[in-house]
Amino acid sequence: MPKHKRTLDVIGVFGEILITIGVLILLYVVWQLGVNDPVVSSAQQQQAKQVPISTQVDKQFEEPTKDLKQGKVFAKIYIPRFSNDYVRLIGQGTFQKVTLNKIGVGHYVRSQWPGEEGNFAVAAHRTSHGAPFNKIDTLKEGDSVYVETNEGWFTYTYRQTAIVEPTAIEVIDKIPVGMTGAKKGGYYMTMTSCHPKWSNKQRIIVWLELTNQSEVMPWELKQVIGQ
Amino acid sequence: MYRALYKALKGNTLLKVLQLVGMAAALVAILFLFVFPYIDATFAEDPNFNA
Repeated sequence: MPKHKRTLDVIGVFGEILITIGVLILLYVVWQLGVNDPVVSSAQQQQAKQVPISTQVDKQFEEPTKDLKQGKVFAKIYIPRFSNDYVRLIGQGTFQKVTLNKIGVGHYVRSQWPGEEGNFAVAAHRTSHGAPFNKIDTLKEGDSVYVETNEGWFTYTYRQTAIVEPTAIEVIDKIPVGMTGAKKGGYYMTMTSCHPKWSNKQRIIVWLELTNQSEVMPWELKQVIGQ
Repeated sequence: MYRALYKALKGNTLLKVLQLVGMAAALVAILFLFVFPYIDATFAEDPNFNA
């Protein structure tokens, strides 16, 4: 075989390998967004629905203590703005393998617990793995987020949205840095996710403030989810 | 590489195309059901807000 022919063959095979790698990466994206995402989203919703909705205070979750292990579920979150039946479990920690990819919403371990003075901060994927906070940018004035724990129901009302760098961890401080009007002694909640969609270049932050606490499901939520 | 594979297949053009489609489908199934879930579970990164 002539030398130049062999060289061409080698280049051809190399080109085919590159094309194959490109196709595999493309297939991975298709799987992640088209196959895995809807399946995981549905599974997370069903997982949360399997925990019966308690109309009374009920010991159905893990107790929120500082020793709570990563991935242990201690609460549920309801966000009617996302959809009337939107409900997800909240697990301890923000490790992807243990909490975010499986349970959906994760609690920053250094932040406070629901209803506690300070800042109850959570994270979830914006896209992929069920994308629990896919519609985080739609939250607006007048919206409420409901958190159910063993202690009861906590209603957090929307206050502000911000876009920050991934290094801006002070947004989940006890007094959230950047939140207008945040002061010592306040009861806040911070939701974090990636921004823009399909990228992790920045973080989208939504701050909320505790406006109600009750032992029974708030009536307005009851109406929305049809209980 | 692909030319060699095509040449190795038996039958006429239609049969060869059908075999290629079948192989591609099997490959995609293996990737979607086993390989990608394994990669996803093994190489998950943690967000910057871990604290």
